[in-house]
Amino acid sequence: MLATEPSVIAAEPDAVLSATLSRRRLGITFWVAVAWLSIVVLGAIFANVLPLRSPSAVAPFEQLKGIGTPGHLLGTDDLGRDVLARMVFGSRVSLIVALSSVVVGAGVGLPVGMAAGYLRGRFDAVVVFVVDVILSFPALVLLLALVTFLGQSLAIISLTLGFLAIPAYIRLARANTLATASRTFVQAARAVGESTSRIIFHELLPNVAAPVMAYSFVSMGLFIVIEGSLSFLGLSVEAPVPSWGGMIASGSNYLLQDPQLVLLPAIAMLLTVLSLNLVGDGVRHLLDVREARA
Amino acid sequence: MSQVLPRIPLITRPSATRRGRGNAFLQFLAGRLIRLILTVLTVSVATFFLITLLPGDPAYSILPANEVTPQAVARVNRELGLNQPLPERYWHWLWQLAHGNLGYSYVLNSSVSSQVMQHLPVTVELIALALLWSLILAIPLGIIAAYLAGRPADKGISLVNFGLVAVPGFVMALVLILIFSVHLRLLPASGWVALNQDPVQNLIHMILPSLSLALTQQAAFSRVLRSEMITTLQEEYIGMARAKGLSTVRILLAHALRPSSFSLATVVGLQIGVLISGAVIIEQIFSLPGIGSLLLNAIYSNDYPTVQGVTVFIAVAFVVINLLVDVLYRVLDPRVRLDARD
Repeated sequence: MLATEPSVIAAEPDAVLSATLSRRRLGITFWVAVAWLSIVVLGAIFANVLPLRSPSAVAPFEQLKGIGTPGHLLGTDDLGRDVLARMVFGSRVSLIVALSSVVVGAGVGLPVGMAAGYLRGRFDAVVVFVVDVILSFPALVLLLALVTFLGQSLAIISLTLGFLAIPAYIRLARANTLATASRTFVQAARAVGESTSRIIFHELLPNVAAPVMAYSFVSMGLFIVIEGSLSFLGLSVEAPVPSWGGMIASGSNYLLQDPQLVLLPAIAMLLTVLSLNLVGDGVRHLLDVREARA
Repeated sequence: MSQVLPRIPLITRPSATRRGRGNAFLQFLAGRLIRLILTVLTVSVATFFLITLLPGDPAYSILPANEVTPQAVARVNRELGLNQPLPERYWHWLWQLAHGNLGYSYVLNSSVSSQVMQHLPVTVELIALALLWSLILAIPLGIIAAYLAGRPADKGISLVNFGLVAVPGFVMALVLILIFSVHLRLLPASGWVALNQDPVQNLIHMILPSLSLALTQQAAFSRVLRSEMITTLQEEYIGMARAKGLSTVRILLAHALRPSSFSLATVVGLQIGVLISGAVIIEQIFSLPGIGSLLLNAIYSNDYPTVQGVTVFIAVAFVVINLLVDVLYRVLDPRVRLDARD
C-alpha cells in the first residue's frame, strides 16, 4: 500500500463492489464513507472551537486512563493527555498531507501528463523517463532519504509527499490522454479545424479529469498511510504536534495494558483510508470511468 | 504436467520465425539494458545531490558530533574530495560506486558496503517469506473467488481484501503482536536469531514480520488472479476439459491456473517495491537487523553517508529486480508479443 503508482489494486474497480454499487446506485456504504470523511474533515477544521481538552496539556496524575473516564471520553495517554483531543487534532496532519498530495500531484501531474500524451515526441519521452526514474525508488525509501536531508517540518513533508504523488498522476493523465486522443470525436474535432487549446480543454480534459478525480481519492488514502508510516517512525512532524502515526508509535509501548492507545488512532486511520477508497470507487462508478492502460 | 494450448498468440506475423523472434528478444533486452543504465545513472546523480542539500559544510554533518575537530574535518574533506568542484566529486563518487564502494560511515566506523552486505540477508529472507506467504494465501483465495464469482464466498473474500488493503503495515504488525504475542503468547514479538545459528528459531521469529507484510500483499495478488482466472475459465478449452469429465479441482489447478498466472507474475514484480518499503518499517517494529533497520538507524544518528549509500543500493537493486522480472516474464509467457514495440 506504499506504492505511489496507480497499481492494479488502485486502478481497477473492485468488480464485486462495483456490481453492488450499480444495483443500488451509490449504496449505503458510499454514504457511510462520505459521512465519516465529513466528520473527520469538520473535526479537523473546527478542532479549536470544539469542546475538547488541549491535545498537549500534560496531566501527571491522569496517565493511562481507560475509555470512558469522566472528563476523558476516550481516556488518556502515557503523559495524561486526552486521547480524543489528540485524535481530532492529529487528523489535521493526515488531511493536510492528503490534500497537498492531490494539489501538488494532480496540479503538476495532470497538465504534464496531458501535454506528454497529446504532444508525444521528445517531450513525451523525457517525461516518461523522469517518471520511470522517480518510480525506480521504493516510495518510502526515497521519502526517508529526502526527509533526512531536507528536514522534517510540515511544509517540507507535505511538499515532498506531493512531489512523490506527481508520477502516478502523470502516468494516469498521459494514458487517458493517449486513449482519448485516438477516439473519433477528437479526430473529428481536429479535422473540423478546432484550435489545439479548444481540443485540450473541451474534448480531452473532461475525459482525462474523470479517472484522475477517481484516482485522487485512492491516492489520498495512500498518502495518509505513507505519512502515518513516517510519523510512526518519528520522522514526520516533530513531537508536540499530534499525529495518528505518532500516537500509534507511542501507544505501542503500552500494548499489554492499554491496547486502545494503538487501536483508536489505528481505527481512525483505517476508517479514513477505507472511506477514501470507497468514495473513489463510487466516483469512478458515477463517472463511468473505463480505465485506460498505460 | 500436460500443457494445454494457451490462447492463440495475439500477433502472428509470417515473419515471426524462430530466428526473427530471437533477434526481437535480443533487441528488447538491449533496449532494456540501455534504459537500465540510464536509470541507474540518473538515480546515482539524484542520490549524490542529496548530500548537497545539507545546510553548511557537509563535513560537519557527516562527522559524529563529538568528533568534529579541524583535523577530522580536513580529513573528511580530503577523503571525500569535498574541496573539489561538484562534477568532479560526482565523478569520484560514481567511480567508487562502480567498484562497489558505497561510501564510508564515520558514525559506524565501517564501510557502507560491508554494512549493507551484513544486513542484506535478513531483508532478503523477510521479503522472500512474505512473498511465499502471500502466494500461499492468494492462490487458493483467488481460485476460489474466481470459481465462485458473484457468490457469497467470492463477495466475502473481496470484502475482506478491500479492508486489508487499507490497513497500514505497521498497524497490521501491531495487531498481530497484540493477538499472537501479547494474548496468545505463541510467537515472539521481537528479536532475531541468525539462520545458521538456529534455523527453527530463525523461522519462528520471522513468522509475524513476514505475515504482517503478506496479509496486505495477498489482497493485491488474489484480486489479480481472480480477474484473470475468470477470463480463463471462459475459454473454449476449459469447456472442452469439462466436457471430457475432468474433475473441477483438476481443471482449476492443471488447466486454468498456469495461463491465469502471468499477470500475477507481473504484479509480484511490481509489488517488490512495496515490499521493500514495507520491510523498512516491519524490521524496525520487530527489531530485525535488516537493510531497513540499517537505513533508519543511520537516519536517527544523522549518519548521512550510510543513508546515501543504502538509498542508492536499494534503488539500483530495485531497478535490476524489475528488469529481471520483465525479462523472466517474456521468457515464460508463450503469448508474449516479442515483435510488438515495448
